[in-house]
Amino acid sequence: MQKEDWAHYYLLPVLLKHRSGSGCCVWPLGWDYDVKPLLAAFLTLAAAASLGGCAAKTVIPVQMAQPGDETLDCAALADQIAQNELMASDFVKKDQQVQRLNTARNVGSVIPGLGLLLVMSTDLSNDEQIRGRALVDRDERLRFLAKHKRCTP
Amino acid sequence: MIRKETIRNAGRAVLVTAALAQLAACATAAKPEAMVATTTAAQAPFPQTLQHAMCVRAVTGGQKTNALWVSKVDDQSFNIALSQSLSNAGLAAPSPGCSFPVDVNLLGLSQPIAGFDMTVTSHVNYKVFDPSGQPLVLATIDTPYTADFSAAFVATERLRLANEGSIRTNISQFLDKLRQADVKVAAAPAAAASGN
Repeated sequence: MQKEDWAHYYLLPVLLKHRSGSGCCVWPLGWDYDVKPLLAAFLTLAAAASLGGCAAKTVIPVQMAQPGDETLDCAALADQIAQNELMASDFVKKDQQVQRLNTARNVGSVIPGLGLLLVMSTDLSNDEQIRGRALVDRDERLRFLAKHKRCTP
Repeated sequence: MIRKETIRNAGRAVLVTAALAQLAACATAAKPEAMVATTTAAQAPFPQTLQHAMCVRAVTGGQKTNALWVSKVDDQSFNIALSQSLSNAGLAAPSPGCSFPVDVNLLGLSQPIAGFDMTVTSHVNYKVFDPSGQPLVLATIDTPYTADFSAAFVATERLRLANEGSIRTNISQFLDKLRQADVKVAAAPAAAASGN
């Protein structure tokens, strides 16, 4: 690559001046253009973006004990317990789906080229597991309060 | 004189080797000694009643590490780390004199699959019971910890360090909760548990 050609490779094509001579590709507007450095730059940016996107999801589990718990009456306690049970069972199902998908991605990791993308898309946030388990513990707390208040089941 | 092509090839070889090193290293489990929380004399004291009166009764929810996959924290390692932390803080009871047992549910670790800086967040439920079996402290603690690239070159090592740092911080925050615990309140069962 000629020194004066660096802009030719790294700036957007619309900003480039017409260049004739050797090169691999001819763009629709008639530019004679070597795309290899641009492709490398694009792949580098894509890889960096992929790595940046690998951070775990932010998971916020329900707090086991919450302010105002003691003031809940029997009906409110029963209602919350029932809702939490439903949500927890839903989370358990979703967690199993995520685990199965992760396993499939790991198996697919042997595929050349695609494998790396599959591994990178693995979900290790444990979102559903954490929120599901937190709800089970929350219910344990609420049941304790219900028992203490002598609520009928 | 070294040719440019030779230098370029050497550079490529280094990069490929580095990439393979990132991918090929086996995952190792979090080390208990690296998860022990330290306390300093400058920190607030613990309630008198809790001193030399606590023990870890049960730890659940941990996961064994698969060497071919990612680093995890298992129940036994967490138990050792928490017991040692309680001991260092002067809270551990001489066996069998435990009045305030602690049950721990390791809800899970939120981990990244890759990255230069790896942030792991641990989510843990701690349940401390008083001598009558009433809950004294019920705390859900979430603590993120980032292990940056300078901490370890190999990704699996970096993830393990992030796991350990996150659990260490988590236990440290639990000890802070114990410092604030109103042990007298535990006598009234309905208002026994203090959340966060």
